[in-house]
Amino acid sequence: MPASPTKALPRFDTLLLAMLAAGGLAVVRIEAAWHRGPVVAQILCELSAEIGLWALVRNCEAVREQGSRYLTICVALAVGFPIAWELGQRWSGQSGTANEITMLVSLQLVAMALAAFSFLPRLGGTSVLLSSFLLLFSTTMTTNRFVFAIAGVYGVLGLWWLMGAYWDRIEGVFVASSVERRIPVRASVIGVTGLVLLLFGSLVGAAGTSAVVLRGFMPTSGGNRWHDPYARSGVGDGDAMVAAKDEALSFGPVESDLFLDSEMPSLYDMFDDTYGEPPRPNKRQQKAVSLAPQDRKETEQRIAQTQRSGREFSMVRRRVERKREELSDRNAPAMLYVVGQTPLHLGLETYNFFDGREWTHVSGWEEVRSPKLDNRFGKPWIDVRRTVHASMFQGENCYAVKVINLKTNRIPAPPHLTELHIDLVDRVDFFDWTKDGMFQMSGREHIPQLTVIHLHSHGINLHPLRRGYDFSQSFTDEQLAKLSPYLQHAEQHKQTADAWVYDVPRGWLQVEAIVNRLRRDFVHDPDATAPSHCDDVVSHFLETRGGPDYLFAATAAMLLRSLKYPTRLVTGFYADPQRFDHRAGQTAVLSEDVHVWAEVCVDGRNWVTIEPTPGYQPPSENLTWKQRAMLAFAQWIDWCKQHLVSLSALAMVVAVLAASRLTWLDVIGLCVFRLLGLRSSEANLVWTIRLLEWRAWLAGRSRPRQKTIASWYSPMLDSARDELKPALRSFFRWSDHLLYSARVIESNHHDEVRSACAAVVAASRRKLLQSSITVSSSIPS
Amino acid sequence: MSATEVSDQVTSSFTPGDTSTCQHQLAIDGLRLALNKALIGKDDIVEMVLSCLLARGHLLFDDLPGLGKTTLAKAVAHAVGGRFARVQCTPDLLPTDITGFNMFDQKTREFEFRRGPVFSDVLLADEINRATPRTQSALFEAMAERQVTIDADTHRLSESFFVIATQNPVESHGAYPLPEAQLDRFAMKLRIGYPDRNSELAMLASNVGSSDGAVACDEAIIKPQQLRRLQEHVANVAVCKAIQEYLVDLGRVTREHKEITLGLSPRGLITWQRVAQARAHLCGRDFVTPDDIQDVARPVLEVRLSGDFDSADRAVEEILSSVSVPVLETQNRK
Repeated sequence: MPASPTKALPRFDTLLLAMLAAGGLAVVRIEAAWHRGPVVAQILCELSAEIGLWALVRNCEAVREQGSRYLTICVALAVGFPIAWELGQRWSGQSGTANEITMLVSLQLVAMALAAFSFLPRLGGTSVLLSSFLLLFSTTMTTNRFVFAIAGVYGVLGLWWLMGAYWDRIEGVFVASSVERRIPVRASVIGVTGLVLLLFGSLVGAAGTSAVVLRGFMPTSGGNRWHDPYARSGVGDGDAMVAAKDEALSFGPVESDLFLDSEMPSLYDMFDDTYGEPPRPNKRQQKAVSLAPQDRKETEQRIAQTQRSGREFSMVRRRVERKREELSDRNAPAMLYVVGQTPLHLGLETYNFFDGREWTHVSGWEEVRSPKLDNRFGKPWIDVRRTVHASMFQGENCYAVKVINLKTNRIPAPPHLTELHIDLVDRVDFFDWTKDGMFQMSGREHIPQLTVIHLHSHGINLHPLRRGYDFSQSFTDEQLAKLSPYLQHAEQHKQTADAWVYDVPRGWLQVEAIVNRLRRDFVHDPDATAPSHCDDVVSHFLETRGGPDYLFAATAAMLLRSLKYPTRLVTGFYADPQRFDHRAGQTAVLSEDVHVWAEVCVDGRNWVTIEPTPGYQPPSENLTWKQRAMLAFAQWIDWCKQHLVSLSALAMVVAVLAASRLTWLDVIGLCVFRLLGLRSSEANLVWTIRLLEWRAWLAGRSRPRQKTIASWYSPMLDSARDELKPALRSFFRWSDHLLYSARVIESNHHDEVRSACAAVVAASRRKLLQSSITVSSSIPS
Repeated sequence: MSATEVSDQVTSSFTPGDTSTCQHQLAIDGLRLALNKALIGKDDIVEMVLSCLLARGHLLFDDLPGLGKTTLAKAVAHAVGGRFARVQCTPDLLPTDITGFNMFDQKTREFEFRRGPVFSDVLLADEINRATPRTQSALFEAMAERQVTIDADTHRLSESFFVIATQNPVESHGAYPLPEAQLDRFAMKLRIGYPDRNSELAMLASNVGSSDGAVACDEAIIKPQQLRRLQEHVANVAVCKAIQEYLVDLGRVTREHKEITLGLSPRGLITWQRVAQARAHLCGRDFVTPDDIQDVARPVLEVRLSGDFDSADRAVEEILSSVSVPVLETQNRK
């Protein structure tokens, strides 16, 4: 029966849930506040006002009678007041709050107002829904354990609230209990949930959880583009300084002695630590013959070039003595923190010349466009965008990298860098291209510790390259001349490369064929280094079919070069998605994450990363919605194939449970009846009525709401056995007596009641109900 | 299965506890038998008439001629053993023809009050819609307050005063439809309808050998005082709070229904509860159930709901369907 508004009262449990959610947000607000006193006072005022409003509504019938009108006013105040307060604060120049917190405060006040008016239809549920979202957002905005504890308590109470709401519905209204055909609720809920999960899976699953962290679920006031002095994250968080010990997005100061005892390794130190040092040249006296002058000149020139470059990467290294067991709970020092989509290849150096043992860089890779300074919302951005836009670019990726403990002046940048921002660095001459095509802070020995670099890069989508298009034929003569060092190779590998790409059309598909072959047939073994006397590590690697990642990269590069695809070797860091910290929203890059991979030049200007080493994920692509859906579907099919046996077993179990659901649900109902219905005659009658309703629901003969127990179920008398009919009549009389008479059932009738209830349990079998109660019975007489 | 049949099945052997309910059962059964004898094959109509009688309500028959309206009214009058009066309403009928008038006595040189037909126990106002509104309104005070006021003198009517009015829905020429205010004085409106084949056969068979062409009940089953006690007993049938809330919700629905221009008045609500009490009593119970409310809903609502609806039955069905009957939550609100 729809109770009139003045009779119903606001529910306390709804208020409690709203207060809990407000508590979660309060922790975030206090944590983010510069001056905590006013915020705590404000929170206390809000909670007091809410409790006062709730008590007023509960105790004042006049307010309840005009509930809809007062609710409108309260909701308008709840939405408008925090915004007006914030504007006032900013205008007066006192202080401010991040935009998302202001919005969440509005949400909190709305949830509280709805809780106060939860006696109105559907408002209680809406309030709990808003409170749940509020707490969800709060948990994503902090790493404070107290909020997670509140969320846990909220979960328990929320479950209790749901159960209460469910039983209210069952006991009170018996809504939607007619036997008319209507939209199947269960199937709809399952279908919609599945659809949402599929969409979410294709969204997040294809890109990775870390992809959405930077933008976040809430509209941050800082964002990636604009500036807000009170922002908590994004580019614009420079003014509101917070402690920067753990968060990658913070610029704030930390204790000065934090890193005093830590060394700053260079990339080479880390290579040596991770891959082992290259063997020292043998300095013993050896016999030699003199060379002819022309030969000597060529050799010396080559040595001079190598020395001038000053960098080399040896493919022949000593085996590293690794510790047998690493303590898993010991925090290794992070080199970098990365916020943004992972896996991510952060390149630092490139090499183009390979002599069979060592990679060096021998000629310059001149970038066409110099960096430019772009001032955006008062923040300096260094624009390194190339003028020509490639067809493979799709969207833009945003990252933030905090340099913790790395001694290099090169920017650890993602591929296809377009622009970068370091707060307060507003001079373009601080940056420059290196000779090997990387970006650096020129004039500095290394990037200062704790520097946060905001980076934007083109996202890539390789589908245009996969359409049988041979990009290697599109190079101009000028580009070919520039790329000639990147095509240097040894002819002995061409046969292998040709065999691997047999029947594959030229173009990116061949590149992928080589990469996939390496990933599939070769084993990543960091200890399987090439012998020190080996002069052709690629051939050795192809024979042994295993080795460290640099041998994979070198082999891929050389095989692709033999197929006339320009390649280069890149060293840098691999931001491993497995190191993604969900709570902090960032990925730590450790010293053991140094990595070597290769890149292929596809249009004379842009280099595309390839990942030939198994165990390292290839760079993620920015897919279109259709491609994501296709990918998700393909992944789903693959997953199903992998778990075919367990899925089949699960499907069988589900099928059996579904087929027999009416039976075991009936048994559950009967068990509850036996458990709770035998305490007294009243309890016996109540639980018999519930069992009868439950069985009627299972039989698809739910009682319409305008029908009483006696009028709806009395057709059972027609199909019941003759000996049960008197007891059934007795049950209907006693159920009416229980429900609508003020007199208690006297003790001398208890046996009659018990036998009547037993008769109902025996006569209310599903099929009997289905045969006796017809659809036409639902029409009121 | 209709709710009436259900009640019959359920109450046929009802004996839980209450013996006082059964004290009047004999009288009720006698009334029921007498009326069923007068109106063959219309058990449900007889039950409604009995409910109306026990609830101290007035009854309006709205049906075609020759279906037994007058016969039933006369049977009721004779069964309750009171004085019976009949008024054949015509346009020239004056209010004093119903209530009575003061006549100057030449001998005593004083005005003498001549009582009209309202001073009876059962008044049959035949074809009431043929009387002028002025005459119809003369019945207002008598029906509502069981008294008439003539020349500043108030005259009390019988405590068991019971009006049975009939009207013919088809001959509307020269008729004055009853105003809503007067309709609200009636407890219910009934349509007798044609009897079924077997009932008609039985009626013809009983008519053979009857000299006056009508089967009437000449013996009084109960006395007016006994009927009054019965009515008082009905007034004490328990109505739990949940049922009253159910009634109030139904009443509110009638006022918010889009096709109903005039919803249920508070007086109508009280009448509905009283008729449901009578219904419960007839079923042998000392408490009212939602089935009682629903069983009497159509005749009670039909007389007092006016609006733009095609079928009163459908409107009543919609009203009943829009409110949930109280079931298990009533335990906390009894």
